[in-house]
Amino acid sequence: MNLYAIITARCSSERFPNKAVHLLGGKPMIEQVIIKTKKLKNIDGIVIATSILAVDNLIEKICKRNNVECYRGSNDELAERHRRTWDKYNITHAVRLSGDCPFFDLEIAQRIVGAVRDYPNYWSYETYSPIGTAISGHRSSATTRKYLEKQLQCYWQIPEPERMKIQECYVTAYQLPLDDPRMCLVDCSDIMPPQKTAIKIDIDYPLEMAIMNKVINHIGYFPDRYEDIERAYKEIKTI
Amino acid sequence: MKIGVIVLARSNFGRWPDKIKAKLAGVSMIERVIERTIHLHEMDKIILSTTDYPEDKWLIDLAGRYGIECITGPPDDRGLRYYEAVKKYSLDYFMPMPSNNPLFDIEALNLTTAAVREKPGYDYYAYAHAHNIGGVLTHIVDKKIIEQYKKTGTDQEMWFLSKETRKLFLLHGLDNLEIRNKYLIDLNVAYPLHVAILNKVIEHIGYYPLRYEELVEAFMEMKEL
Repeated sequence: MNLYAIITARCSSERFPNKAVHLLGGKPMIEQVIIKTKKLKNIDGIVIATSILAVDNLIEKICKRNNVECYRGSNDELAERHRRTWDKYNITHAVRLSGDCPFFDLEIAQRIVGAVRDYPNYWSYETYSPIGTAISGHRSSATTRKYLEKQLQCYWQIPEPERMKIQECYVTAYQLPLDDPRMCLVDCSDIMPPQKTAIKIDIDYPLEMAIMNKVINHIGYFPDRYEDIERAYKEIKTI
Repeated sequence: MKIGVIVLARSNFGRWPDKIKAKLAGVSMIERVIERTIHLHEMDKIILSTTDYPEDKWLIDLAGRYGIECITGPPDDRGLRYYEAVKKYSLDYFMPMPSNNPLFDIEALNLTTAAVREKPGYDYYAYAHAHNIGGVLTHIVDKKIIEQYKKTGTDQEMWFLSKETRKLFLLHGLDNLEIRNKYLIDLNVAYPLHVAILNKVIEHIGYYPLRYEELVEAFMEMKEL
């Protein structure tokens, strides 16, 4: 098994240009994701999958500064970029992280890593939460090479106009909704009961970045656990 | 066919006891929710469901002021309170509306209600899959779901996940990427900071917004707090 953490990130976001390198807690957001990911135990490597566009040069520099791999591929063909990332590092299993979700809960991600190590024959691994109870940013997941191949096969079968639409919306092949009978659901409800995940923790808009900078200032450090963020949301009454 | 929206509200509850009284641009959150439900013009009934506790008497008065129906029920069983409202007002379908969603998407919920009238017979109706969305969309439920809850009794927080039925009508499936990427802002109010943020957003917009798009614009425009 070659288990990597793959972090997808890019700067050419329409909603929030340069989002990945915007300062969060005094460091570029992608660097905060890298620093937290480096705390994961039992993984074989970390790679940031970004585009070849010049705007993403800074992401590559940040990777070098933090001694993690950086794979640069097509900006338009995300599926191809992901496949090549897996190929280059001979990855068999990957924990999927996103450059816009620096507040992922370290303990939950660690549990996903544990599930992959303990039960390597599943096709994918997801945090278990009943429908409608986990809002954005709270799920962690891992994928296997086998499953990625299945998704890519499905992706390339989509007729051209629809596939282009998928690209325009920046949806990766990983996100294609396929039925997957071999999914390992990892129960994390003891760490984080679903009804507690009432705060959106990924960052899509400039205002969300500003909010999270306030939260970090209040906490006094960059949080590894969701409960720190929750405490801040309770304590901060005015802005 | 009779469709109603049921707003559940009570004081002194949960992680933030006075939450429904929190002010959004000078008006309490529960009033904001009620005012917004009045824009759900496809609805036959707007019902406020609260408890018999003396501390909730003001909610009964509030419903009277807005000219909407009010029912009281058991404080610790939300499912039962939905059931009793559905029964009392003979609803065929109902939209459960939490009192902490003061900025739900009116247009999307009007379209969802219209879909129920056009294509009756499903157990749940939703504008889009609520995977990533907080406080923006809710669903419409066939009365039989809540009747089953009454019969069988499940975890009251999870009444809508009743195993018996799962016939879902989605106006926009997961493959509708435009919709999937539209609803990314969480507008659910769970903590004091949520209220502080929303007040800043309303201040930025200049008025209490009726359209979800106005909120998206504000989230893009506001770079600092």
